[in-house]
Amino acid sequence: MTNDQIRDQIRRFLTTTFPAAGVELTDETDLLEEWFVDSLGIVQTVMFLEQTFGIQLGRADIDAVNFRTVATLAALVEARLAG
Amino acid sequence: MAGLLGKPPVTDDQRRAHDRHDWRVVAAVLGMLALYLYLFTHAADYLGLPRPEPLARSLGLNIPHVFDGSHNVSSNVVITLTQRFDTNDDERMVFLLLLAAAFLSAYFLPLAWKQPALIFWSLVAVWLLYGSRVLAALLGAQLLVYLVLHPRRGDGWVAALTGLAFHWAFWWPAGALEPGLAGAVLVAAGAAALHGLVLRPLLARETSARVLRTLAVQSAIVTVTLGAVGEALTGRAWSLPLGILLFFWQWERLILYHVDYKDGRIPRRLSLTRFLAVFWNPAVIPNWNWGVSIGQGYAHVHDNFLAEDKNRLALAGVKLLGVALLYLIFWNWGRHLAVDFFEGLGIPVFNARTRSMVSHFVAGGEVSTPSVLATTFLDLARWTMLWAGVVHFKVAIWRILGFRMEPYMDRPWLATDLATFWRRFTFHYREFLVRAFYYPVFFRYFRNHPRLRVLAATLAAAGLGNLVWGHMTERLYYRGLEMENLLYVLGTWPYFLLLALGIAFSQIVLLRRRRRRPWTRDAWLLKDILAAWATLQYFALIHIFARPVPGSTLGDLTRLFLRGFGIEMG
Repeated sequence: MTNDQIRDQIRRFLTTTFPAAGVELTDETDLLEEWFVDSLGIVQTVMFLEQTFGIQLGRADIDAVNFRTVATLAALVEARLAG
Repeated sequence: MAGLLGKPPVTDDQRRAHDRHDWRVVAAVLGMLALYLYLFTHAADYLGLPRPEPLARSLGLNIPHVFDGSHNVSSNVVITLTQRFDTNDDERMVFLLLLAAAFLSAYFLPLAWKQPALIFWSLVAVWLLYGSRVLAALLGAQLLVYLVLHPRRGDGWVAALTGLAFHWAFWWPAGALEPGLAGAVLVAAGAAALHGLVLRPLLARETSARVLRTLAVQSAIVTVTLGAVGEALTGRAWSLPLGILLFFWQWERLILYHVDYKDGRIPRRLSLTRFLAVFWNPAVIPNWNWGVSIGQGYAHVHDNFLAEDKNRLALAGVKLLGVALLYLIFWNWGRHLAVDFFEGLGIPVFNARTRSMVSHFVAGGEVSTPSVLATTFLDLARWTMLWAGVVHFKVAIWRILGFRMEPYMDRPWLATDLATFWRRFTFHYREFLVRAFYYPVFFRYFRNHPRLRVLAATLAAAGLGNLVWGHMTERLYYRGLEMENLLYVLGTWPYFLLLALGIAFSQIVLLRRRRRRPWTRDAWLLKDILAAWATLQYFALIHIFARPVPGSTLGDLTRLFLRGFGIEMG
């Protein structure tokens, strides 16, 4: 799976699960500032990533670096798929 | 959602870029601290100024329930568990003056010296406010934790220092320098030898190292449990030295530190200064045992230091000090106003105290549904206001000292579900429970069953972790290491179960549907208002189970709880 495909799937999940009026979701949108409604959003995203891409995340993955943007989330997934 | 996971850590170069001086900001911080000094200490007497109460009266402000017997503003910001000065006003004055010195040091010193300066001023504050023996016991306990978590070659001197600290705290003869000095040399040498011959070899083996780390990090709960059991068996309660008690009071920060440690967020070879900077900050000193988790562990403290322009952080601190001031001054006045309002409507609210209502009910008194709802709601409002003044004050101190720190409490009345309320009401404590209890369960169990996964993780955090690691330890430190106190806390389990189930339920409901941002101005706004009230009321009502009185049974509390829903039982 390419990085672009991963980004597409993450973007689709975020826009349908957390619709944010008036904010366009790009690969660089600051998710923590502008997108997630609350910390449950993080938990939901973890479950989505694990189920969709068949990866396992740990608590050390839950940080502001990985969850900053669609691009950083995709990079996390890509690293797990590769590794 | 700023503050959800913080922000990525900053580099020292970025910190230097954030370190520009602005005298207007310095004046604003010092001005606000001067206002606190005037309102909450005897500073007016020293400066020959009128005290706050006569000044307010001369301005036509006759607000009841605001001033205390010395005609200052009554304050809930206190220096806990110490009586080295005549009054708490004097202790507050010492603290506020030292805080001003700490602010100036952290503001103007070069980057490398800022955090050491904060450690220094905290040491001075504890020394002046609690005495050198308390300081030594506290420091000794923390040095011991450092030795266990960060073993490395050449730290025999830290072991010697630890021995010296304990020697001064517990064994140095009062008023005699020489005999103590001879003993000190022996103790320091012995501690260094013990460290080299016993501790380091044990830490070199993974199994024994893990046991030692767990013992060090969980020392607070181990002590309260052993203490309570010991008291039940022997009839004698342990009395903890104050310095050790102050160390134990930081158990949430220590556990979060350990979570960071296990997550690999702390360099294994960490300097003593960087370790101490997590625990020695002036912000932890006032109301030592309130909002202990504010600041959290290593990663949060270090990642957020000068993470933004220091002037913006300091001004955010000044703003929060202003908000804290409003709560500290007016909370009791507001409480009385609300009580009088409901009493005027013919709804008894028991002085906004749920426990008084429970006592009345258990004694056979009648309590109506409106009375249950109003009393529990006002009790929640009462201690929320009381708590808000103090935790805002503490967070504000972190901010003026250069830390980007989320508020402990962020307009909880805007929460439209219990999961959000949990975050808004007690952000740093919630982070403690989530990182220490929620994540370990969430990432280990029921990975293929989302609802069960969330339920189990929430029960572990808001239920078990909250009850045992949060409230049980706290209660025993407040009331003494006695089995009676242990059983009292364990008897409040329905509160924790109902809280956890409520939070889990709201999470599971939210998992199932598309998420609308609450308080959006659309057709669902009225629903937000009702949901916010229902959330607050539920949280208020379940506190009936957290306020048992002598003679009350689970049945009594359940009947009163159900009466809140208009259900008559028995």
